[in-house]
Amino acid sequence: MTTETEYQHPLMVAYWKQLDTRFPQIEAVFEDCMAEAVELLTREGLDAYLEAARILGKLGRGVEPMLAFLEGWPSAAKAVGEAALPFVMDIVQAMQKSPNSDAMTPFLETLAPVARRLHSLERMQRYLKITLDFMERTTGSIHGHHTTFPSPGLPEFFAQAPFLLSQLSLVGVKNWVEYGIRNYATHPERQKDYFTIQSADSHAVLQRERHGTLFMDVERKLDLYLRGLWQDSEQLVPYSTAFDELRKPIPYYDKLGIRLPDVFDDADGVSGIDRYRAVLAHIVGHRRWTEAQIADNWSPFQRMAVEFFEDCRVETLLIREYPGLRRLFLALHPHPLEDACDPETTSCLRHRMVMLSRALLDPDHGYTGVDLLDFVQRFHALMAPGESEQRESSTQEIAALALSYVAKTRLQSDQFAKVHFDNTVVDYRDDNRHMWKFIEEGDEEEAFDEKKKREPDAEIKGLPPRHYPEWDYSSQTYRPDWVSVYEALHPSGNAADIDRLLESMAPWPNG
Amino acid sequence: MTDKDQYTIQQEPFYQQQSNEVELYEAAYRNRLPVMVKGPTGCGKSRFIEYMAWKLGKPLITVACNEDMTASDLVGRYLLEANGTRWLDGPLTTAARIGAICYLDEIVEARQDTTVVIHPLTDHRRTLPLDKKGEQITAHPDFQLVISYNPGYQTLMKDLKQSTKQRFTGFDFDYPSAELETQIVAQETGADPAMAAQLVKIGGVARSLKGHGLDEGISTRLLVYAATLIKDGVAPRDACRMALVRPITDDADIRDTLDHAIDATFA
Repeated sequence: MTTETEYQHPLMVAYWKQLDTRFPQIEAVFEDCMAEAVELLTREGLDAYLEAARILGKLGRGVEPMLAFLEGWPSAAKAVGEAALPFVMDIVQAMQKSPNSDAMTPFLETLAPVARRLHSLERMQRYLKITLDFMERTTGSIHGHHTTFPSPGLPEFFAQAPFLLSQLSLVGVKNWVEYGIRNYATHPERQKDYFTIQSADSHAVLQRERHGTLFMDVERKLDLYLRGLWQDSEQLVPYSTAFDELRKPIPYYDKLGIRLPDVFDDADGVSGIDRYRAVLAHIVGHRRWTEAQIADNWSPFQRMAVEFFEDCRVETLLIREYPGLRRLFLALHPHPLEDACDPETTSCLRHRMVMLSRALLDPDHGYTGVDLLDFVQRFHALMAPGESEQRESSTQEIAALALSYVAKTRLQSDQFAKVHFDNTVVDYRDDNRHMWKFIEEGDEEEAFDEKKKREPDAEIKGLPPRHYPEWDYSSQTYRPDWVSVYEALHPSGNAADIDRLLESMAPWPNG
Repeated sequence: MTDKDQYTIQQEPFYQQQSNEVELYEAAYRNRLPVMVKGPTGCGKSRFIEYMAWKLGKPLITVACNEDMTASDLVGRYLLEANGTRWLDGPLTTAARIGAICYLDEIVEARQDTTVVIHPLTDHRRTLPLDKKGEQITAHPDFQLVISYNPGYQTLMKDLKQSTKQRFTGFDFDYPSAELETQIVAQETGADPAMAAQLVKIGGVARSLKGHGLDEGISTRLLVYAATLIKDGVAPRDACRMALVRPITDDADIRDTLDHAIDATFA
């Protein structure tokens, strides 16, 4: 803007003057930032915005803080209100006066996503208070050096803040930060590990503070549920849902137990605990009624169809046992619109299967597809108790039905790379890994003679260690997984040794 | 003389036979062998004895045992009167005199030394010495002694002495099978059999939690209560919570699980 051109709006020129800076990086984005700001901010807000940016530019901390602020503030202000600006600038000032000015850029860079999570001025103020407290308590002398050192964890914390707020409530964030400060205030490296969410206890404390129904809080109820309603019992093992962003794990079971997510938020009017129960009921259904099928000769689509049909079969049997489960399953089962997917352009495989699955469970599904209705009717005919009560449907029979469904409804577009995923995930169902057995490990010829690592039926020796929280008096916190208990059978030995020991310690006979 | 009729059971009590226990009891009675019935609470022990008394046409004297009960409470005592003292027979003595079935309910609740007074009545002697009165009663030919207890409550402190146990023939009672229990609940209350089956199912859930936080499952008696409430127009869920869940546990996790079982059972 130093080289003024003719088409520039006079207002922009005035703003630029107000900003009073000569950073070329700012110049490159200034107009875009201002366009957004003009749209989102009030007249006064705009002045305050430019003034704050001007101050940031004059702090002598380079261009980054100013750039981050200019880009982030308008949308942050939209989420929490312009009135938050003085509080933000107070923090900036506090950083400027302390050795923590390096944290300024990450703070301002994540301000917008944080604000979108917080959504109110009051919560924003509490967040800022947490950060200020954090900064004050972790800045200072280390190992007796009385020069002040910057807080090692603060920049890392700001970088993680949007993620933290997506997982935790504000109180949870506060507790998580508090734990880190208490335990690692004097360990700069470990403090960094903690606040980048890399250390194990960082994960564990995060886990403890998450919103929703935590597995560890309802474990006993789930065990009682299995025993009481299904006369079944199994080790329940939680897996973490917080850290796998790309591929979300799905419940499953194997020889080591039933794996469940570590937390369930309420969804579709169903409480977290009932979502756990739905998963367990579904898995119990498989454990009771599903026989493993040989997968080698079936295509992926065929297998998927068999899985969907089998899931519906076991759920139908479960509902026969406890009719109230239908309400629970249907509340969690997606109900996609019949025309939500266009088979001309997209692979509608999943959409079709989920609609069918819904229709098999829900008498009021409202779908009109001819094939779908036909297969719903064939499914129910198969499931109806036969002439003798002894006869029950089997996985084999349902697989045959699924294969004829595949043959009947296959479309060219099923091969398309663009797959319709919306509203097609039935999240209380497991991944059905128990349903398949493979004769060959793969298609490669040389794979034939390879020894399997472990026989699938081999007995498992020893149990994995169990971890328990324990009180750490030095930091006055319960430290998660602080105690490890290894259970094992005592090795056999000579019992006479013990007898001899007792004998040698026996009191002298009286008299 | 004691009015024998007050102890006679006039109307047939409803009792659903589970296997051959009626015949076995009759055989024991024919030979005047003392009988012990064991089983969880509310599974029909007392009802069975009542039914047998009715069937055999014998009077029934029931004593609910408790910790404060003394031997005199069973045998009898002298009472003070204006002109001196008067002897009053206890229930056991009365039964031995009139030839009734004497039913000592929850015998383990009584102290062990108290229960020793029944010993001479329960072997070949069939006599009851009243040492305070200086009298020896020979039991009426129709007299029979029956005791009941609930092994679930057994602790080291509350158990029967072997010398007591080994004077009785025994019946093991348990909750009836699901079909039978459904029949019982339906017949006892006039409830719809489908509803009774659902109640029995909930009962089954609680019974499989025994030993995992529950001392005792839901008894047939409670199922009958629930069916009675439903028959009276109470909504099934409320009736079940009130009659089946709240009485048996204070454990929040178990209560929650049973509440869920109720929701899952009623569509």
